[in-house]
Amino acid sequence: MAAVVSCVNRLLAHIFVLLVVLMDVNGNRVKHKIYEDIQGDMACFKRFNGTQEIGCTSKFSGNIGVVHVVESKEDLVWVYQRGPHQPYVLAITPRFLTSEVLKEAQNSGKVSGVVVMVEENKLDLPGGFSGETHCPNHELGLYNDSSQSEYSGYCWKEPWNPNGTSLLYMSWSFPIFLIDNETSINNIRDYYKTFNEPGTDGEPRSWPLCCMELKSNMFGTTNTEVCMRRRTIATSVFQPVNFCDPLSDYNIWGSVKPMNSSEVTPEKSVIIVAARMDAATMFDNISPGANSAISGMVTLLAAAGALYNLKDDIMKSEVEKNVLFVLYQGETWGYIGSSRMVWNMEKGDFPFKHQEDETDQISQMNLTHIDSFIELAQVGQGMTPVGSHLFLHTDPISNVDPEIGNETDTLLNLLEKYANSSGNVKFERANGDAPLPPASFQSFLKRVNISGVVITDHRDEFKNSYYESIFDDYRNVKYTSENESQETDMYHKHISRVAGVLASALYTRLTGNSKVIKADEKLTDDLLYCYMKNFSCQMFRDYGDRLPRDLFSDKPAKMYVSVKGGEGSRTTLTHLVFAKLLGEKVELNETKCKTESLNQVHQLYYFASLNNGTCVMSTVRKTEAMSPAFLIKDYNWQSGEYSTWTESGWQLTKAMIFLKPSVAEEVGLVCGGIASLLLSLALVYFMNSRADLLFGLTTPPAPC
Amino acid sequence: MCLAKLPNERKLTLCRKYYMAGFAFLPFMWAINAIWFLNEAFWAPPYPEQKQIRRYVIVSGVGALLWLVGLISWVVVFQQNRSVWGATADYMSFIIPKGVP
Repeated sequence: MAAVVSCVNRLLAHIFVLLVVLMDVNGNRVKHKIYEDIQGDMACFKRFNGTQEIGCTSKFSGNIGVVHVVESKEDLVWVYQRGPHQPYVLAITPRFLTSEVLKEAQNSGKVSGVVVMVEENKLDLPGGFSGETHCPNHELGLYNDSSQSEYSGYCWKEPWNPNGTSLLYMSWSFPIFLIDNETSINNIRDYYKTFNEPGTDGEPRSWPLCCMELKSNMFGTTNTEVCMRRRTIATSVFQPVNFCDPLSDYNIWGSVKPMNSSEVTPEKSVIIVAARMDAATMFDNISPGANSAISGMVTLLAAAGALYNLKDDIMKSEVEKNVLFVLYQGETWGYIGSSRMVWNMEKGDFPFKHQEDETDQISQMNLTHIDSFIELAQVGQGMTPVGSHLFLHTDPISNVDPEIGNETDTLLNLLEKYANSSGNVKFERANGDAPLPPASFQSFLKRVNISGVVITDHRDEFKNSYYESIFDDYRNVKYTSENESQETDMYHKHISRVAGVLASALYTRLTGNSKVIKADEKLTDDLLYCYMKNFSCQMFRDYGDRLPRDLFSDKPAKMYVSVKGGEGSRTTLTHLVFAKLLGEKVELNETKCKTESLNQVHQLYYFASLNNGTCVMSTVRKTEAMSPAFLIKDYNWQSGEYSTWTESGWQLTKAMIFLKPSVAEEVGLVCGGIASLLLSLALVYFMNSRADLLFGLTTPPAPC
Repeated sequence: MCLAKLPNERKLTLCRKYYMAGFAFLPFMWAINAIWFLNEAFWAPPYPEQKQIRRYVIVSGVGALLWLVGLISWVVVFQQNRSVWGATADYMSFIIPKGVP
């Protein structure tokens, strides 16, 4: 009988152990019972230039404050005048993201952090909002204050960007987070309603209150000079800390005709067609730049594709002209990409240093080879009910030279001719006595007098009222495609039309013949959809099939230039698409389709997903876009000659909400804990010393 | 090592060794010397070498104290002025704190 009982006991024990294992034995960590994570990947971070720091940082251990949702001005007044539970974390809607509100918060001393809740569906858009200054890139442009040109004061009187708040260039003493995740926003609102919302008469609620912790501690401080120096020192003593990194990525460019170093490139033979490919906001992981970057960039890609379809005509032609399509990187931050290209051209090592022993290598290019410059700036809001209406801006300084002036005139006439013949595109000359709007072309004009034009959607001030802000997205340019290639959308037709006119004009310059070219509407729509709505679209997944899957997210592309090893996926994909558009198919298999050297005239690209494997030969390549300031020895950071922007390093950005009891309760809890610990120690000591008396044991129990 | 068990002349040599070593910019040697031999120098029953030991202990103690005051004032001055001194201060640092000017 006893044997049976023990057997049953054993079985029960086994079942119990099995049950425990089957159930989740990991347990919930106390931390997870206290805190609830909310979206924290879009924090405002610090950047530096030669003289100042901008952006936000939290304290080392994070900033904590009582959540207060701000829906109206009265809510802000309540916090500053009545709120007894400081510090507060303000949860604001985009309408309150203004420098006045943030300055008041900073000066009140009662605010330890701000979260901006952006709800996709009930968007509460401010009338106009741009993080940039009234005169973007003024200091590093052609008409800067020290240039002594008569146009240096123009922009301050007639600002290009009247919606500019300069918010991007201000420094805040508290963290600011952007939240667009619906669950996170609902959590904040719900907890606020339940625990924090003041009564109808403004009576503050009592503890416990819902608090938020925001962690985004930045490593760098002061300015680029200090943080770059510290980075160097830290590395030299084997303590590598990224106090800050230079903003850096790649310019992507390619020529229609190959440029071989064995042939002489004639002077004034290369027409540069440029657009910029970066935009910025004050937050990490969001920089849509729909009009400020994507509009010009997609127009350029579409024009390049359309023109290259006629490559046979172009190659046959006797005219000694060539077109260089360039996408400049980092232009938002003081023309990084274009100034770097100019710097390299002046040094005589653009695109690469000449190699004596290589036969197949791309020829050198310098500033004398440039014929003219055509830049596509913001063209997205030039859409009218009947067609497209854009403006042609020219530089009044260089056009004083009659030769340059005539060349510019010829260029404008050509563009206008094709615009007119297309029927629904109108190119209008902007005020000839006004300086150029912010444009990469200015980097060239600082060094050399060349003819050129900047094509934009605005005559005077920007049409884009959300320049360099989180709202410069597909809605801003009225793009309506819900999935790839929808016929009803008008925006992609507008971009295609402009690209067609540009391609026609370029064709005439290259061949001397006239031809009306139409850009591929399906291509522009696909590109616009991929950049503005869904980065993991079919087209990008096909082109980038060799890239890691996690680079593709179903959000809009992030157009921020970032730092080395930062967000390169958008550049890589643009590079691949560009190469395909400006390249021809060659019969090589996957193993043979490899470029040996970046110096080679033609680069080879392999696309496994296109037609069961396609090898493309193209002149498209990338060159580094990092400001020359970081390469010149002993560069004077305060000189203002080149961009000096760097981005701070940080460990992580994180946001959490939790319920916080009153201070008295917290102190009581800790004291109670300590007291009970001491009490138990005393008790054990007492019991131990009186063991024989308590348990009545005189001798230790005999072994069984 | 128990000092009390050592012969007096060994105590003197030991004390002198620590005293001399302190001159090689090793204030810890002096601090140890002063504390370790304090009892021998002042409260132990008198013996011939004690007078010399006492002298070494006093000099070591004062030296260690001066070092301490000097180091503390340097640390305070340096930390107060680190950001003002700019490059100089950065080059003097081995570990540069993150996120602080």
